[in-house]
Amino acid sequence: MTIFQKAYQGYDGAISAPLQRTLVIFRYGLADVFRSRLFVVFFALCFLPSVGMMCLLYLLHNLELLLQLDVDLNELVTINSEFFYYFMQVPHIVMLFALVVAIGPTMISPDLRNNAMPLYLSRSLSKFHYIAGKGMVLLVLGSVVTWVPGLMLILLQGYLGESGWLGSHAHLLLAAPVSSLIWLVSLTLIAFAVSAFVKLKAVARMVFFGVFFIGSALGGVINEIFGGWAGHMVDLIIALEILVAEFYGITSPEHNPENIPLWGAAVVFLVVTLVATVVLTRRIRAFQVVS
Amino acid sequence: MLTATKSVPVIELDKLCVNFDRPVLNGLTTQMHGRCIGLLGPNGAGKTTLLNTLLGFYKPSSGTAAILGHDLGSGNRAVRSLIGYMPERDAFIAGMTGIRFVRLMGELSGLSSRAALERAHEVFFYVGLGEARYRNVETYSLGMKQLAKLAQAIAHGPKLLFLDEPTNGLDPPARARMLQLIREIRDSGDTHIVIASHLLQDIESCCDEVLVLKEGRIAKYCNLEQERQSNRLFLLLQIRGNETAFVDGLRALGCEVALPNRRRIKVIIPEQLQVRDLYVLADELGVQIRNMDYKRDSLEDIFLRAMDD
Repeated sequence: MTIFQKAYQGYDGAISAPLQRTLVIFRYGLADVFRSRLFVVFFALCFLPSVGMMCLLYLLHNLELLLQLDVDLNELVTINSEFFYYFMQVPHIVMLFALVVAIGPTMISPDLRNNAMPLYLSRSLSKFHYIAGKGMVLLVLGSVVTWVPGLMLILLQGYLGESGWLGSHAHLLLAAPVSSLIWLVSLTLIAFAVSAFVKLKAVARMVFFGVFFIGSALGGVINEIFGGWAGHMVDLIIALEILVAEFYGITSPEHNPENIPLWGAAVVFLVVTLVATVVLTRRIRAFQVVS
Repeated sequence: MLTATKSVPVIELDKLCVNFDRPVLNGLTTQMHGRCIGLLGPNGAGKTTLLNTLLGFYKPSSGTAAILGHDLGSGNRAVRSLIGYMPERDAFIAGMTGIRFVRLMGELSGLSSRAALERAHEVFFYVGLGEARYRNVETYSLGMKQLAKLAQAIAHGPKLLFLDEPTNGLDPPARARMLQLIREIRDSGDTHIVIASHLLQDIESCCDEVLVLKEGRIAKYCNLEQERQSNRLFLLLQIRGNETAFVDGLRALGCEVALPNRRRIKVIIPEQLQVRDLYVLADELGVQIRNMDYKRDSLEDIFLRAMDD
């Protein structure tokens, strides 16, 4: 029978597990993101810092090439934690911010604007599944361009470097993924919370920027007025710098001139994540309750 | 496979209450067994709130509700896999073709990617949007969006289909088409349907049971067919003269009397009484009977009576 002659019939086939439906949201979200050619170009460019870093590592371990290039061996940088912090982690942090700005606000706001939540939530799907599915898009893409190549670079350095280097820098194997993931999860939740609140993509992007820059400015003002470092408790960027420097084992005072305790920086992230989660769970619902 | 039987109602409500800042649903208790159940009520009666509660969007303040034997409190997730829902308001996912939208909804309901694609094509043709299935949903007209919403609701072959004002904003041909589709789905025997609407004709043409809500309470729950069969014939009179005295006289004769609107009197006469007796009464009171019709209750009568009670 041709398709247009078929009458309505029920479905008695197999049904997938609820957890798999999170993956459906992830799969469709990923496909939507890559429909933009501009994003494909941007995503490809995100690999450049890691490729550049790999070339740099190769160059620094290739004595013959260095001599041919007439490089003074005494001026070569030492490959240690600080090297990876400045040449790998800092670019990754900037890249993640750009990635989340590019696609974060586009993931939830169109669904809310077009009243799609009742369609999602009337199925065997909770808010958690929905947010997790959308969030996985950012987590996977962010991981693919940051800490995954980051770990490969650390392992490459361990292979190319003198014996025992990897053993003495083993903390980097944890520092790279943890630093990127903390930043990525926070950015994702903030972007989702903002877009759930504002609903318009362009405005959501502006508010997302505002959260960081107004936070920094406000922190500065609080410090000026009251002295001390309490103002930094609303500055996510300072908190990130303190945490990442700690993970990388960098004790230089320039990363933490105010000597803010590590727990203070951790609390900043915890509070921001909690607030964003509360906003998200309150805003993502099937219907507005009209009083 | 879960279907409603005489022992397992489609929907069972037990003292169900939903409060926001005021009680919206107030102690609803009933069992519904129909193949197609209509939810009727004036605006603000609680139809959409009841649907949303059954969908798990709102938590009951007290009482319980069960769908196809599953308690909403404990088996919420399992219940929702059996449900299809067509919301009242515009609802779609931006930037998607119709077919991709329905396929996504099918996959979210638990179908495999391949089965969801197959079903999406089938239901798109079934609702009459086959030729428009590769167009973006945003570009659809209001009528097409209604049909696309119906397509996503039936893509996974639900056992219970909730339709919230399915004919809203449709022109007469589109409305007739929508009602025809609903009747076909009902008659397929695979799916129970609950329709919330304030359009009595829509409910009357599709439903076999009706739940009338008024200010968050059940004003009437009836099986339309049984109601029609059990309805006694009644007389609809138009008179000129002293209406109050005539009505009192009718009641004294043992008639049931209602005044549905001005200058019309609805009379159910007891078996021992003849129509002739009404003329005798009218003559005694100097009242003219200008018009007399035999009628049966329509859904409108049932609804209006429920609203009056």
